[in-house]
Formats: sequence, structure tokens, C-alpha cells
Amino acid sequence: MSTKSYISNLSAGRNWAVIGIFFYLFLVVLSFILNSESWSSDLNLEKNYLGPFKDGNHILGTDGLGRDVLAGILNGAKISFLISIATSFFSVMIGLTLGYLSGYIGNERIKSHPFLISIYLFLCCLWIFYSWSSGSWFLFLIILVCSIFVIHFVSYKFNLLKANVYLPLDDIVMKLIEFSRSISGIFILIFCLAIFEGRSIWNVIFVITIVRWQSITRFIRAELLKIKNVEYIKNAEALGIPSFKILQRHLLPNIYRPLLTIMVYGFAVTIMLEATISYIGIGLPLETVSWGTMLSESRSYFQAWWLAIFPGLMIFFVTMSLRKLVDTTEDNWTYL
Amino acid sequence: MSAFVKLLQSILLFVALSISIFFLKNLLPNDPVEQSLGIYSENEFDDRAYSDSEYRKEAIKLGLDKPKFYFGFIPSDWSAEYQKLLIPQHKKIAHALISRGLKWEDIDLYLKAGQESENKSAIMALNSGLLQGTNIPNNLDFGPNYTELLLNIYANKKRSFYYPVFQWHGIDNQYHHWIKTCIDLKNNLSNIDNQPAGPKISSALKWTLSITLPTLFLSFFFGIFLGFQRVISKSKIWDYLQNILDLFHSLPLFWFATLLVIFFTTDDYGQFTNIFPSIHSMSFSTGLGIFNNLKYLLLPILCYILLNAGYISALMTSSLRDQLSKPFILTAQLKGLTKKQIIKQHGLKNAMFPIVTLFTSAIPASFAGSLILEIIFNIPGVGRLLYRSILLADWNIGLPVLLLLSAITIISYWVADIIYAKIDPKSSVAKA
Repeated sequence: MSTKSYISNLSAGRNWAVIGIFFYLFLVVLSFILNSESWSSDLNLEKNYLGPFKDGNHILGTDGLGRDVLAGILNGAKISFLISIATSFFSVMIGLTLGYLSGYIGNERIKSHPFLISIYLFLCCLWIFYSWSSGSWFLFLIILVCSIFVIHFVSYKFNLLKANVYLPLDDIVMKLIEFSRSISGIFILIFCLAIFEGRSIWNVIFVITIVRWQSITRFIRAELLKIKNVEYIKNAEALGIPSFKILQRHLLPNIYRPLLTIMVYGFAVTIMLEATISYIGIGLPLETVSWGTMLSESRSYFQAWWLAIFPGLMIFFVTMSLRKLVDTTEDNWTYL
Repeated sequence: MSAFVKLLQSILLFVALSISIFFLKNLLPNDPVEQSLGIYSENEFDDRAYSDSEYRKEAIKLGLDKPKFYFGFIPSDWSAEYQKLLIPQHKKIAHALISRGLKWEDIDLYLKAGQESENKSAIMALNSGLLQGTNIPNNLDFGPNYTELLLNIYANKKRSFYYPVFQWHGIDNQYHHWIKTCIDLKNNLSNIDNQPAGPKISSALKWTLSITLPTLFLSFFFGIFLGFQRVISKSKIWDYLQNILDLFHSLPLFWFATLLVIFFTTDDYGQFTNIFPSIHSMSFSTGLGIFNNLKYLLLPILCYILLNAGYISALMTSSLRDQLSKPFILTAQLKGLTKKQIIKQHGLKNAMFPIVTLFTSAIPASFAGSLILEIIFNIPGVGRLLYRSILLADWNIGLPVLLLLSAITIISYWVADIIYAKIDPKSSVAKA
């Protein structure tokens, strides 16, 4: 897909984007300094639905419960920042692991014996059974990992079962991605959020990670496939350099820039997703003020235009400047 | 052959999806028995509006005494009777006692004593069974503290070794019955309002399709037209139009829709901005059918087109320009073809490739986007139906809708593959 001219058109305003990002970070720092969480939850029922610029104490007005809109915007900046940081960390961790397994190791690198594979699968099933029936899953996880190591070591050392079948890691990961892609992300979000009993910021982080991991995995897989067959990596393999060193010295520095790009882009997507689910009313807890919850409040009282305009503008500007910041090349674009 | 494999794969995917939904819905905080009792209970605000025997009767009516799946594994020190414990409190106690190494016979005695706490002989039997060898007098009365005491006595006991026992339950299980009612759309009743699922889903689907189909076709028509015009004509108007649409494309969908609702459906900001019908008046006239309510669909359709046409036209322009700068166009020019012929026969066909990709991925995306539009504009479509049924744990409706939506997604990916093979024969060769 060639979208180069469109992208160059988009990234024309990069300087403005940098200013926008710094403004956003400034708001985040300010919300930590001013303790916006308690400020934004100050109720004042006498001064509800106060318009902007009418009261010195509430510059941007108040909402239906008399909470300050400016404080809400600061708190929303903080919450969206925390959620985006955590989500991009977790989803990049998952994406790097699975992308490495499917993109670099692939279908034809790890060999094993079918009997060994079935033993490992059987042990995993046993682990699930014992952790379900006894509740102490971590103890049994250690036992599982140790026993797999022992079996692997013994069979490798004494040449008991000759490895003759390739593990189709790439196919497995791609099937997993296909399965999760068959349902739209927003429905997965609703589905998972319905399962949690209480609402918290961690649930939102967990659920957005579930939605985001597959696009990042696909992206990293594609990047690794591109540099997998480059001469110097083949040379490094031929020299017998351990695969962890290859990952650390050759693969990671090569995908560093595109990874940063997708992380910044993922920031924008996460802010949007968080605002969307809070807007629908299933995301953050009701007492937490964020951009999405403020927007959803504006639907119940149409005269209060400031409740719709200010948080929406914040979402718009932050996601816009994040998108303009990334120097998106044509290859990155197809996976986002 | 490959089509057969694909069909098999998608059927497997549906089965996996339904199994995972079945086991996840058991994790939900809502208790299905309480839910169905709550409808008939006269005193809603009373914590215990029903007795244990009522609860058990309702649970048996819902089929909860049956095993969950076709087969299962239970620990060797459990009895099959464990599955017939229907009351969650009893289950919890039994689980706690088993993990402290008690035998199943003792737990059974204990639970029976709990059911008939006046029966002295049952308690005596229990005491002599459970409290043997402990310092506690064995004429202890049965009460709420009894359980705690028992747990304390056995706190340090270790459960002896156990192993999984395979059990085959046959087709008389919860999953089988559930999936049978879910697929049978005529007799599948909603848990909430006892309406059959078939008509409910089909009427919702009509609403959703009447949003998604016009938006998809109109936005792609406008986008392709605009992108094409920007390459062909020298007029600046199309570029200005593109710039405006670019601005719209970067707006969040739900914010833009909310702004449209706030400013253009009410009198609050003056008579002249009240252009579109109010979203709340719709709920009274849903019975009249779609064709009488078309005016309610104007705003969501407009909103979606404005947000998406800009990206499509930009993609079209760049892809067409990309193709026109390639050497084979120069060859065509040297052959003496006119500009019209070159663009129509050589440029346009190759330039449509990314547009097709975008179109096939836009079909599932438009269903996801219609969820937000349906919530904001108060339209009773599929997305809203799914949203409500998931939140209210009405899985008899939720599963068919979810399967329908994932079928649409899978089919749109198939269509993409077929169209790729038609446009570019290279892709099918490369895949094989």
C-alpha cells in the first residue's frame, strides 16, 4: 500500500505536534502537583452547570454535580497518560515475545519430537487441573516449569528422542491473531469489562492490552521478517553467537525506531479507546473524572456545551499531535 | 480444496468462540438463578426473598444440576455429588473443607445437618464423625459459628494426594442444551423480556444495515470520486474539499457525533440550528418500521461519511499518482494512448488495490463504529442489542449476535482474498 504522499502531507506540522506533546506532558505534571484527583471530585451542588468564564473559581465551568471542569481536564490528562503508559508497556512486552517467536524463530528453527510435545501439553493440562482444584497456581507453575526443563534436558543429553518435527510457532501465533481478529475490538472490550466485578483503572488497562496486543505483534513480526535474512544476522548465526545476544545486539536496535513509532501511535489509539469506553459508561469507575466520563455527562444536559467542547478538544489535540509526531513510513501504516 | 479447509477452520472458530463464551459467562458476577428468581420475587429489596429449597428448585429448572460439558476431570477425592450442590454458599464451604483434607462423606453429613438444623441426631452423627480426636465437646450446637470452628480445627490439615479422574457426561449437559437453544432462534427466549431472539435480531439487523450499507457505499463513492478528481482536474476546489475532509478525519467519532446531537437536534442554541429530529423522539415510533424513520438515520450516516471519506480519497489520490509515475505509463504514452485511456485501462485498475484492502477491513469496522453511533443516536441496532445483552448477562441473545458479527468479519476477509485473486493473479500464486 502506497500512502507516502498522504503521510508526508500529514507530518508537515511536526513542530506543532512537539509543542502539543509538551503541553500535554505539562498538564500531566500539573495534575500531579495540584492533586487533581481530590480537586476534581469536590462536589458543590449549589454551583452546578455553571458556564465557563462566569466564576473566578471555576474558569471552565462546572458539571451537574458542581465539579470543576478544569480540574476534570487535568485529571483526565493524568489518567489517560497512566493508562497509555501501562498499556503500551504490557502490549509491547507481549508483542515482542510473540513477534520474536513467530517472526524470527518462525516455523523452521525449533525441532522437537511429537512425543515430547504431547508430554509438555499433558503437563500443561495437569497444571491447569491442579491450580484449579487447589488454588495454589504459582507452586504448581514452578513444578511445571522445572519438570519441563528436566525432561528436555534428559532427552537432549542422552539423545533419547531424536527431534524430527519442526514446531510451527509462526502458524500458531498467526492462528491466535486470526482468532482474536474475528471479533471487533470494541466488542471484546465490552465483553471483558462485563466479566469484571468492580471497575478500576487496572481493568481498563488489562482490557485495552487484550485488544492492542495483536496489531503490535503483527507489526513486530513483519519488521523481524524483513531483517531476518540480512547478511550480518546470518553471519552472526553462523559464528554461533547465542540467540539472546543476537536479539539484544542486532534485532532490537534494528526495530527500535519502528517500535517507537508504533508505541507513540498506540498512545493515541489507547487514549481514544479509553475515552470511548468511559463514554459508553463501562470503563472507569463513576467517581473518577476523565475526558470520556465528562463527555458522557454532556449527553444528559444539552445546554452545557462546555462539558462537550473542552474534553473533546483535549482528546482531539492530544491524539492529533501524537499522530503527527510519528514519522510514519508506508510499511508501518498497513498494520495500524 | 482450500475453500473447504477455510470453511472447516471457520466452523472450528465458531465452536471455540461459543465454548469460550460459555465458560466465561460462568465467571460473570450475575447469578442466573437469582436473576430469574428476581423477576418473580414480590419483595425485590429483601436480601433473602427466597429460601434454599426455592433456589434449588429454580436451579434445577434452569438445568444447573447437569454437568457443564461433554466430559470433565474431577479430583479423585471428590464425589460426583459435588456437582449437585446448587447453592453457592454450600459449594464454597464444601470446597474449603475438601481442601483441608476432609472426606466427602463427612462433608455430605455436614451439609445435610445444615439443611435441617433442628434434627439433633444428624448433628450428633456429624459431631461424632468430624470432631473425633479433638478437644471440643461433641454436643456442640449447629450454628453460623460452626463452619468457622470447623475450618479452624482443620486449618493445619493437609489434603492427601489426589489425581484427575476422567468423566464422560454424554450429551445431557449444560453446554449442549444452551447451544441448542441459542441456535434455535424461534424458541430461544431472552432472559430479560421473554421475547424470541429471531425477530429481535432481525429487526436490529435491519436498523444496523440501514446505517452501515449507505455509509460504506456513499463514503467509498465520494472518496474514490474526490481522489480521482484531484488527479484528473486542475481545479483547486477539490484540494480545498480534501483539506476540510482531512480535518474531519482526525476528529474522534463519538465526540463529533455528540457535538452534532447537542447542537443540531435541539432548540437550546436557537431555532435555526434545530435541523435534525431529536434523538429521544425515536423510541416512541420504533414500531412504525425503518422507512417511516429514515430521518433519524440522516445524522449518523452524515457523521460517518464526513469522518471517513477524507482518508479514502487521500489514499485514492496517492495510489493513483503512484501508479501514474511508473514506467509502464510511459510506455502507454509512447504507444500513443490518450490520457483517458491510460488512466482508465492502466492506472485505475492498479490503483484500486489498496482501496479494496481498505473496503474489506472497513466492513467489520463499520459494524463496530455503528455500535457507538447507535448508542449516541438512540437507534435500536445490533451493536446496542449486543451491548445491552452483554451488560445484562442475557447470553441467549448475546451469543447469536456475537457469532453473526464474527461471521460477517470472517466473510469479509474471504471476500478480500477472492477480490485480490481477481485483481492481481500474482497474489494467489505467491500464496500457494
